[in-house]
Amino acid sequence: MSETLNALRRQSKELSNLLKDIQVAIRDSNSLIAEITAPHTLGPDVKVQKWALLEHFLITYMEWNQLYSRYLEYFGQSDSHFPKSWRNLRFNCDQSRIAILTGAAFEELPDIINEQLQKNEGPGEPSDPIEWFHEIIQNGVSRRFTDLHSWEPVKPPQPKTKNLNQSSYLSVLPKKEKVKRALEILDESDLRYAIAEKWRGIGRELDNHKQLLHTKFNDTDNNTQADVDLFLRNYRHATLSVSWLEQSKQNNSPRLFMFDRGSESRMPIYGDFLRRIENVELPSDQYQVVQQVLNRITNAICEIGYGNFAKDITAQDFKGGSQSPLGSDAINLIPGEGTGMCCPTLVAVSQGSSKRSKLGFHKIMQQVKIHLTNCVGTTRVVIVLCDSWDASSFMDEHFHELQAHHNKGVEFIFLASGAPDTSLSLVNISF
Amino acid sequence: MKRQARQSRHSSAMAATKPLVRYIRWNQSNLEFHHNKRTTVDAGCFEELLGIDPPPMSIDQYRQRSLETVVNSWAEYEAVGWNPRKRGYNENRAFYVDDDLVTSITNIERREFVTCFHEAHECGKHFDHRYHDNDRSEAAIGNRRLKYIRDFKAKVKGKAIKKCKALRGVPNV
Repeated sequence: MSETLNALRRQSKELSNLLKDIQVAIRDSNSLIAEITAPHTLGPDVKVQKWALLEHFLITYMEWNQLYSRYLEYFGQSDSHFPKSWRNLRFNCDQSRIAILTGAAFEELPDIINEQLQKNEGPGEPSDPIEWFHEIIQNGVSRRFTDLHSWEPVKPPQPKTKNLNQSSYLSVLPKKEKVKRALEILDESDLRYAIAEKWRGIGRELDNHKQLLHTKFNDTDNNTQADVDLFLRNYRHATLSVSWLEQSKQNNSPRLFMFDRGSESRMPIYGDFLRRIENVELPSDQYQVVQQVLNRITNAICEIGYGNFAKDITAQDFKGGSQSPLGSDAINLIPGEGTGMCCPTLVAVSQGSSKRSKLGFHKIMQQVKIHLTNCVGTTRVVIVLCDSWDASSFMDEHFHELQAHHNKGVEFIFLASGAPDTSLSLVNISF
Repeated sequence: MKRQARQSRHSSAMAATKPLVRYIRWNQSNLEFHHNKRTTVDAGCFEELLGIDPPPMSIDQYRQRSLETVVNSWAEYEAVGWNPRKRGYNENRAFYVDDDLVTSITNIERREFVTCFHEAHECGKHFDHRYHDNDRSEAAIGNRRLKYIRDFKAKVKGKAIKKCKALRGVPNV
């Protein structure tokens, strides 16, 4: 199983416990600054202010829910892959989210959160990479938090559940009640709008703070920037905050990426890789697939590193797809489960050079050669990714067989990751 | 061999209990180094936490505070932490956090202190020490614990700390 799925599992347990405390807190009629207990989260003897528990729940749910949806896209899985309990948990948490962020009882929550954010701002600057990392992530999390009120509600997991919407509810009321309820709905709408405006205001302040942070960050030394880069890359992978998933959801550039030091200049020019297949006769739709795949692979490796990329692609729960790190499901993948249909494009991913390892370059190349034999005439482009390259071993063990396939019209693109493992370069092989 | 077996038993027995504090020692030069840092680079921080006036905090007060942090800790975990000076990871260590978010770090056997410091940002901005959250009310403590948990999770995700084994108070991420 992938690390992401394991993380979702662990976090779902934490969120379940938190939800038990939240459901009690929501029913509690005391003010937001009242002290309550959170026995499932902090233990029976620890007091906490209601607003702090609500904030903690909302952030925990926000992060889990984002990982939940991103996992489905990134790994190419459907919702039914998850246990039913997770779908129920997600729905119940979302109902609590809506109650907290739009309810009159929690009207003052934005003011309290804003006050806390102001308290945390000061004239000083972070003094080490971990503090910088914390500041950047804190800003990002707080900013996403201010958008929580505008999320689309999660649909109930059981489609047969009756969930009366406003109009059907109103239609069964007597006339006087209908008018009264309609006025209440208008008041509620006004209130919701006012609350939403408060959150948007906090969001704008956080955006300004981010700009300031970015300016200060650019003035720090190279070592600090490199360390923060490393932490952000790991965080990005752990939360699947990759550019192609974030950009599909929002119009502005992904929030974490503006701190990415020179990532654009580090990005390998995938166009150079494409030139390898200039002479291959491919239908235009297949050429587009290769283009898409190369673009996505280079992006993915640049953003999360080759080690993380290879781990995800080779995980048992990886299915691929257009939102995955491979960029398309119209390809064959080695290593992969099952035989499936032969596709014109094959992607092979190896890790290490050990001849005994299943993912070692030698065993992966053996599978490539078997695939080429089985799919002769169909496979036209082979993209092989590796993190170690032994030229003499390649010449002795693989070159001549691949040359034979090359002579029949198959083109090979060998890409090797470097140090750090976010860089990718073309290995020049002349058949 | 016997000593190794005793140490490994000691380590596993610590899974859910606080260690016998009298067995945790400071190496004298390490103690002086970290005490010096707390009273120069971080001048005023511990003094404010401990209510020491006039400053600076003495070396005995610092030693005492490091022991109290372990005794009063609400969170305990083992992890490998990033060392910005050497730009690499330290060896596996034990972390203890108390309700002021003072952190004591010991070696994995819990025999020797590595350092003791105040987590910079969970109490509000720390950089010039004027933003200490001096609220010692019960609820404020609960608030701080929740904030610490979130920050802890972010550090694990970013691998600012890794190979983390949560023992008390913080979740497995």
